[in-house]
Amino acid sequence: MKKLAVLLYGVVGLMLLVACTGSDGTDSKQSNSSKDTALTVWAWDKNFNIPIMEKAGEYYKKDGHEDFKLTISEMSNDDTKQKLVSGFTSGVSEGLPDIVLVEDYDTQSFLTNYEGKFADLSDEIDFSQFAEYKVDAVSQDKGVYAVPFDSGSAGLYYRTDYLEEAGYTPDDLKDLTWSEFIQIGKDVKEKIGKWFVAFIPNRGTHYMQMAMQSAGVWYFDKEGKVYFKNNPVIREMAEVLKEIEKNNLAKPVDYFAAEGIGAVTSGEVAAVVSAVWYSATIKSAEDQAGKWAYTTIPKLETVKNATHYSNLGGSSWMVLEDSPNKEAAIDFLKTEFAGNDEFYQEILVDNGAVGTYLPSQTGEAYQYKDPYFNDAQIYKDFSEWMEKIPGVDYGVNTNIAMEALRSVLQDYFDDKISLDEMLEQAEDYYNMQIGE
Amino acid sequence: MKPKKISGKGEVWKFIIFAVLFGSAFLLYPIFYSIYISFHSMQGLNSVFNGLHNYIRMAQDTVFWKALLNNFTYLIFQVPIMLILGLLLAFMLNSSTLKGKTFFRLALFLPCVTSLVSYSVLFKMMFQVGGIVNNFLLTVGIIQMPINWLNSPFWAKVTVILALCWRWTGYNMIFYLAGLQNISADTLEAASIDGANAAQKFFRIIIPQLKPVIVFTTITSTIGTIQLFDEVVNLTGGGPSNETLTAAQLIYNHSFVYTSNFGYSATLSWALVVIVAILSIIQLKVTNRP
Repeated sequence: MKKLAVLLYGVVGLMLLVACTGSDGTDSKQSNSSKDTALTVWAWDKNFNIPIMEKAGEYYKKDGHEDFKLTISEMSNDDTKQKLVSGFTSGVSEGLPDIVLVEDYDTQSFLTNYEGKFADLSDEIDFSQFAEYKVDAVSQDKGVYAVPFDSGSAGLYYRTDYLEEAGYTPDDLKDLTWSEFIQIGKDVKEKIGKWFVAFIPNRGTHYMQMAMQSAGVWYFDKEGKVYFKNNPVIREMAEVLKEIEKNNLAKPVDYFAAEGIGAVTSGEVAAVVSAVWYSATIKSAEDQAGKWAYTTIPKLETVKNATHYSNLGGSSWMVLEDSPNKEAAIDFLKTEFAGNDEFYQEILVDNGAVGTYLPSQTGEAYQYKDPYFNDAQIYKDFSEWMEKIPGVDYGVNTNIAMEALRSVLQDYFDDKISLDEMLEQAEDYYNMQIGE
Repeated sequence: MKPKKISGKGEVWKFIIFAVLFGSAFLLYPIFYSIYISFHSMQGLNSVFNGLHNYIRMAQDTVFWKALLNNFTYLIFQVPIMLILGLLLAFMLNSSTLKGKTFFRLALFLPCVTSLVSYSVLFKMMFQVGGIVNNFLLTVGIIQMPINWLNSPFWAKVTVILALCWRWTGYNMIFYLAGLQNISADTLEAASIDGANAAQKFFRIIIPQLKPVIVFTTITSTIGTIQLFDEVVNLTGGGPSNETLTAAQLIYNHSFVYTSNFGYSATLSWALVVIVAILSIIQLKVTNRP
């Protein structure tokens, strides 16, 4: 009996010892021996970011790094954020990736709250080669902390057949204002009984964000203070969303979830306001080829400097400062994402990815006439618009601001509160949630 | 072999030392650390001691109170419905005349072995504007216009309650079924001979004897409802206008969606702990009354 007990203690003790020291010992050995050749990447979207990253890895191999190995972990945007936050706050640098994809709305928050966790790339990469608004989004105090990747250059996609039935030609859809947009929606609903768009109006902050960026403003003023009450864009767009809700123009489904995408691909809706990356989703409905067209997004009427050009989503690659493979990671991103035109041409045609690396946009692939959109040069158009998108500072609290507005929109739609009351409540909500 | 008598404190410690070590590292340390950080304001890595500020902030945080109110709304409506339904189902399934008992037991218990997320996603699909539920109600003629289940403040709550009942009724039913099988058939038979009808047997004999089980299910359901997270996040995301937001979701938001203020999250979590403790004590006191 006693022997058994001694043995048991021995085994458990050994296990503990291994658990405590093992990770240090083995990991560092491993990463030293394969320092330049193995990188871990976290990213989301199996149809977009992941295959593109894989392709970049293949190119890098061809470019003389034969032993190069890329391990890509697919996880949702939310999971990526959560895992990064958990890793950073626990002070453990193991188990984190070398390169991570971060949505542009989140970069400032990461850079402020986790100072020193991301590598400054400004000395390594020539950022004048990238679209200015994207570089703005990932810069802080003269440092640039990410390689800008895809563009969220936004447009209005519409079904030509439905709109014709409702009495509109493609010319009628050019250079719309938001109130004209709503009028068309009403006609579509009335004349052909289809939903106009698909999203939940009380969560329609992406419409506000597109509109704000098109006029170069955001949820915050220059001092970083919340800017709802006197924000002319939010005021105009709140009314636009209310009209959409009142007239039942939007199928109330999560626009980025399966049911929202399904509503578009099954032909239930006549229009989508979204970014260039959404074209891949539209094109997945092969039976609707030739029925879709696109134009610029509607323009604000009451706001100075408003344009037809805006951005939705879009993300960038960040390198972790504590990564043992930091140099290798930077070299990889620099070679492919900030220097390889051919790679950009390929992902454009294969994945519909409009990169924000400007030299790549003179390439032949950008002249591609897409038969799906009746031979329109979709990539050329969207990237031309991209250059005109006003830059804005997304600040550190975009997510709270978004939630603050979502928390009051339905009450405003239901006429429980006025526009002024709504914006005041949203500001209160925002201040309460940031602890001021 | 004669068993050796354990003597001295050293011997005892040998047996419990690992349990104590693990317990301290993984149970006690997190608990005390969460109290410690609840006195800090954090923004990611920037942590500042701020005394009772978080607690004062919580008292003034109308969003937190709204989330708690939502929790209590679920509690008041869903828990009684679910428990009564579970009790009735258990009573019916316990009947000796029922055929295909195993099938019904399995069917009623199946929902609670499905994954929380997948059933929420399924409910979300079923309760879409053009979903199967609306289609059915329209066809049968109960409603004239599709109900916007997930985006109207009232119906969103109803949907959450329906989803919760579907998932958890079977779970509670199993406890009642186990309890019922401990009630001797003799008592029920004696009652029958004395002329008691089904309702009398149910209320006078079964419910009093099931009391410990009922107390147990009430307390676990209460705790579960106060900690509600998955269903709401997946069904409605807390909307519309925070009408379905729960306290647990708000804690999550402060940790991972907003600026990662774990200090404030810890404060809110402790408020939940206190509420759960108080509710459990009240329930025990009420039901232990002679």
